[in-house]
Amino acid sequence: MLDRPMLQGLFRYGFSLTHNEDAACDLLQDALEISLRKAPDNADAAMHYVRSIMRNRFIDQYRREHRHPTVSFDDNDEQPVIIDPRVLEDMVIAEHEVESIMAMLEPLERELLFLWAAEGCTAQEIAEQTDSSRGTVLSRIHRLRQKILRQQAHAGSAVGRGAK
Amino acid sequence: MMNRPLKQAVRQHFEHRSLSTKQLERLDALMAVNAPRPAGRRVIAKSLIGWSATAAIAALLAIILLLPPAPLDDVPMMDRIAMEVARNHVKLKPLDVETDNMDGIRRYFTDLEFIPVKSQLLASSNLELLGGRYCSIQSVPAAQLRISALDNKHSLQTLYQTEYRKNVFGPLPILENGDVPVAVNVKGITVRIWVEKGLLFALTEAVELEPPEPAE
Repeated sequence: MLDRPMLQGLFRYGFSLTHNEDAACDLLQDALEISLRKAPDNADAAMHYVRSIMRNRFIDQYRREHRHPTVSFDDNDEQPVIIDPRVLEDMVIAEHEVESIMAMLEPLERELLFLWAAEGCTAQEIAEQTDSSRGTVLSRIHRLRQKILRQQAHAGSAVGRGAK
Repeated sequence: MMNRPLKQAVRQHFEHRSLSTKQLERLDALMAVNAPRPAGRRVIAKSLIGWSATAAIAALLAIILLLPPAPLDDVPMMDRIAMEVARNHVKLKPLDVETDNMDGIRRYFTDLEFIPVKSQLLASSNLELLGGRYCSIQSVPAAQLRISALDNKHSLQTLYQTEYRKNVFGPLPILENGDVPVAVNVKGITVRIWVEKGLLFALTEAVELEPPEPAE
């Protein structure tokens, strides 16, 4: 049985994917309906299980609705780049920018930000939670940073460039 | 204009979102309805039937409890894969991409954690690739390719490819080890399943498979 703080956590995770509160609640409810009978007894394991269902279900729905996705992560895990996983730590944004940044990101980019910022996950932990390799996560972090910087430049913001 | 660390701004962005009391109550109720039955009830239920039947059930439960805890139910994984493949094959859902070559497939399936490849078992089969769509097998993202078997009245067949995760799919025949595909009959369809080049393949019937090359 999941307690209310866990439900709130799952809801926020759903919000990171959907960027819509109603849709996040629906996604959580659907996942609970599917998974509860089979969820592990341990609460943490059950939460992880429900989260996996939410993610898979969201990706299925997203792909159905975007039959020709315009953006992909183009995961090239093996690209020989050295990426410091802390590159996001140094970034600074103007207070009003967070909404516009979240709105322009793709769902899996928001998921990455959520896991990193709200859950405090390391690149390795994000990799484990998203069934990706650490290299893939680092590539995503790198591209995410570039994207945020471009958005800031486009918005005429001078902040964020102090980042390493 | 106030600046903040990105991490702090993002964290607050999410912390400001929360389920309402009404939504929480609804989810609590949902969980209560769907919660697995407590073990005590099962014991009570068993006590209502005859002693010998209870003993048999208890013995069966003991066997089940002693088994490794991995599977969600008692259907063998190969059967579950075959059932999922057959069910989706019968639906013949619209293709996301129409292409007659693997390059077109690879260009389209960019959101997968693997690259779709040709199988050596199908190398010399008289097949025409028609296209594909995103799908999943046992919740693992997969590519569902549709092919036309030219030697078999152009019958439409389905070829699944997904990353082979042993922890999800369990042991399956691996071509490189000299194993041969396993055939499972379900819903009137034969589904052949094998692992090749690190990918799990599942193919519906009506395609002649080439014999695998001997393992090195």
